Amino acid sequence: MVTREIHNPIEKDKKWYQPRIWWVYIPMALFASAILAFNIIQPITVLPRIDLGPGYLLHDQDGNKVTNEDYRGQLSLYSFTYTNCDEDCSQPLEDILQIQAFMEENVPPDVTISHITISLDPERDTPERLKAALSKYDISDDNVDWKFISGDPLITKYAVGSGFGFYYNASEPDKNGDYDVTFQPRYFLLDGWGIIRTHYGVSAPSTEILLRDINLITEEIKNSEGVASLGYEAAHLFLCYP
Amino acid sequence: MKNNNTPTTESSSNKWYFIAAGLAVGLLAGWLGITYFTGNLGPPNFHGMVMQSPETLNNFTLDSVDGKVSLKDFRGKVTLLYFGYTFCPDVCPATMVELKKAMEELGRDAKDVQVIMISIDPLRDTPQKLDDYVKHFHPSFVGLTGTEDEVAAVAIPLGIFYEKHEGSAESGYLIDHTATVAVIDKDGYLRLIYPFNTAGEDIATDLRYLARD
Repeated sequence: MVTREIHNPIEKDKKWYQPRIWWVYIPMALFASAILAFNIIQPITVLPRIDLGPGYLLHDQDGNKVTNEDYRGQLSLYSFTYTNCDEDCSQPLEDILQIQAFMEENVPPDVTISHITISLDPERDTPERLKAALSKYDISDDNVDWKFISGDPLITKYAVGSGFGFYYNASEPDKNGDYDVTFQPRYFLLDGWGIIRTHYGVSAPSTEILLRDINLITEEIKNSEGVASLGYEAAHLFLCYP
Repeated sequence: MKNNNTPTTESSSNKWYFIAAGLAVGLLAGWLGITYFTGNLGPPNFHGMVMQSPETLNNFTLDSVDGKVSLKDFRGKVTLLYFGYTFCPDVCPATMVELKKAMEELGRDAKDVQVIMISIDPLRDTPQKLDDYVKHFHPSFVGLTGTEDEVAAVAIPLGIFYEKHEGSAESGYLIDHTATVAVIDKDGYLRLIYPFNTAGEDIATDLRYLARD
């Protein structure tokens, strides 16, 4: 019986196109090809939804209350420094203000994004002190709102240390009571849900990459409904990251 | 004259018929497959925002009516964290009702889900008072509280803002707060964030998937 099947060409021909075989293998092959193609071609690029940004209530340089909820529904860029951060400090305020100036000039007006700088020296950085430190700069924030905020040291500790997950530490005060705050520069870009989408570990991130990332999130928001959102979720699923 | 009924020609036309049918079925299956996977792993079919946290949520320990309870005690269950307080006049009870509906909708799968309400008003919400409050909604719900610092250490990293303000003479002070619900999967990863007013039925649909994940 076995010998006859092997040597009869007609029987052999019938065997290979039997529907029960094709109906199993073709869908599998197409599905695998679709996944492979999506992975290789990466037609859509997204930024990962890394973690939740922290909740907080702090105050800006004008003494106004600022909370994370103020930025729900819009993008936000967070940076960190303190007013005593001198020229030897890891994150001079000038670098932060240059990023602010770049965004002010280059972020499209239809993109709502705010820039928030959190003081890592909340014990000394009162609103008055923040305002005094900023008085020597000409800061424009008509297009991209910018605030320098400070407040309860415990909230700052939980928001920055636990929420954003980065380390900062005040040195021992010298005989005059002065101290430095040790930290590595860091910027975080959050979406309208307050979710951290990317971060930059330099004092002055590449403006090209920053603008690209802002555009990536903006495009994803624009396509967050309907059929297009399936493609974006597939991009998240297949880790189509830049 | 060519005989169209020869076995070779018949088999050839059948072959193309089956290939065409196979392709059609394949495309359909592929589309259904992508829809299925994306639908179960992200919006819009998931009803909350999907997270891709690379690390498990930091463990914490707070006080329940039965003593100290840690987040890690609930590993193996899908855990929902909600931050509210028992004096809360509107948002908290509305959210708790939706979570109760989700548990009822889950039926037998509810055993794999744990709802925890953490009080952002630890000065007034004793463990007993909190337990009475959450049990009013569902017998399996757990209420946790602690010192103000302990609660802040848990709430702030999860994006929870809260602030006291004056209320009426009857209610005392009220607290404005973020009203999202965080979903932690069986392995301790933050997986979903629900905005306020997410329907219990929608939450149940998502939890059923996460519970069998």
